[in-house]
Amino acid sequence: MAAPHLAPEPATARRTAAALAPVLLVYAATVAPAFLLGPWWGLAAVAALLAAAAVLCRTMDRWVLWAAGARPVGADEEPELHAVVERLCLSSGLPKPRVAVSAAREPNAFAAGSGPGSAVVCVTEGLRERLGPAELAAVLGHEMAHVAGRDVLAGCVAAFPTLCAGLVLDGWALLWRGGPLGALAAVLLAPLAAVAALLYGAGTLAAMALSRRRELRADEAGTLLTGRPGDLAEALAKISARPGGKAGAGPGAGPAGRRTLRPVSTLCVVPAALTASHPPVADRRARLLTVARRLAAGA
Amino acid sequence: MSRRAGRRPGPPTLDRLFAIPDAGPPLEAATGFTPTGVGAVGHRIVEGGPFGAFDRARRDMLKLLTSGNAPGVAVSDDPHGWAWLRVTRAPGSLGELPGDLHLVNAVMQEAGFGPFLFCTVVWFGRRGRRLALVHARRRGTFYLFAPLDGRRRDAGLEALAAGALGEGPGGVLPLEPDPGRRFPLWDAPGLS
Repeated sequence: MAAPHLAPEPATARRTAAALAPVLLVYAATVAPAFLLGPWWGLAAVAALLAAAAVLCRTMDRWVLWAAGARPVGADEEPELHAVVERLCLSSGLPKPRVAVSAAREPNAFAAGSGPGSAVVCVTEGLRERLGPAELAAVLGHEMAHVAGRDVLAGCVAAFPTLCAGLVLDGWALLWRGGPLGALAAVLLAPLAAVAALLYGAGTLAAMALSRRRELRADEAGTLLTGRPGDLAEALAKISARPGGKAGAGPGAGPAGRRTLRPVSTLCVVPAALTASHPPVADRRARLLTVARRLAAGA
Repeated sequence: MSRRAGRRPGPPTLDRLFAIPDAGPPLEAATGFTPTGVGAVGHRIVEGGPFGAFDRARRDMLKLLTSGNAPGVAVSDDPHGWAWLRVTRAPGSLGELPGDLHLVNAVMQEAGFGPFLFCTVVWFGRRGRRLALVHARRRGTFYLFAPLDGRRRDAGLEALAAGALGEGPGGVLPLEPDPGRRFPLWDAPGLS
């Protein structure tokens, strides 16, 4: 047994940087067209991107919360969530992140921010309804492991193109419901939506490599923090079980709920969209049960 | 896992629990609060069931704790997966209580479950009011928690007591410098 080892290792940091490379390609691809207009336009676009990235790093948590339709809650509003998070902080030595709740009906959770000092941990109403107290603590332990691993920033940088594209797509889909005028606008804006769809796909692919390892690592680190891998395995099964049996078929956690979380899909504990940017839940459960056996044997 | 254990041993701060008796006199002089004889260790209920490694270690620890001049011991757990081990000695002095609490921490740490202990609490009281001296194991620091009715905290009393224990190097105990990490413990046994 070892202490919950929560600090990032140099090797892991290097691999995170390597996994970020495709994400940077996506960023480069958004700037590249500006070079067609001339080198100065291109450089201006690069400068704008760098400035945006700098601002982003400071304000990432607010962006993500806004995109997920979440709001920060105080300890008087959500004493249970705060008590669990505080206890996890006490045992990990981490500073306390802010706690937020999203109104989405789909059960899910994510962590965002630019580091342990400015992190925010968010759960959805659906998660609170569906999970028992021990499973809630396990999911929050997983999210605290993200905060501790400093990969919330890497995850947010990777998720940002997808976030923007997802918001554009959501807005465009809403236009279709706005009567004939909305439909006309939607047709006119179709090229923009096509670019957004392309960016969404590319961004999701790029974020995949990164988030895959992030999730496995957070599963393990979170388990070393909570000592209860079985609870997390149970929670993952409940979160990924869609009502009605088939993915996205149920009315309860149906399209409306999922759309709310689509922009931040790659950040969630179980992917909100149909694109599986995370390792399959069955895989993660098998790994967690291995950890459980190790804990029981005291190895 | 064990590879990392060798590189980074657990914090050698458990012995600081033995400094708790030194906190009694200055605390009483400044605030009038005296030891209630109640202390507790908070820990995670690690998975594995009654025959798993964690429960074996806990049984061994309870056996040691309740042999000889035994204190009163009670166990309580919560639905989120945490538990408290409450240790009761005669009120008024801090004679054996810190030793008991140290034993609980040391045996569990020796068995490899140190990371799953989150804090140790010693209670002080005056006319029905309570004041907790909390040792945060991971940080190796102490802080004060003075609960009031309605989930409020008596910040004035906490500051007064912290002042008596001395901030800075001349102090009796190493106190937690970050106010954001002095977490309340509303479910700790001994609070009422």
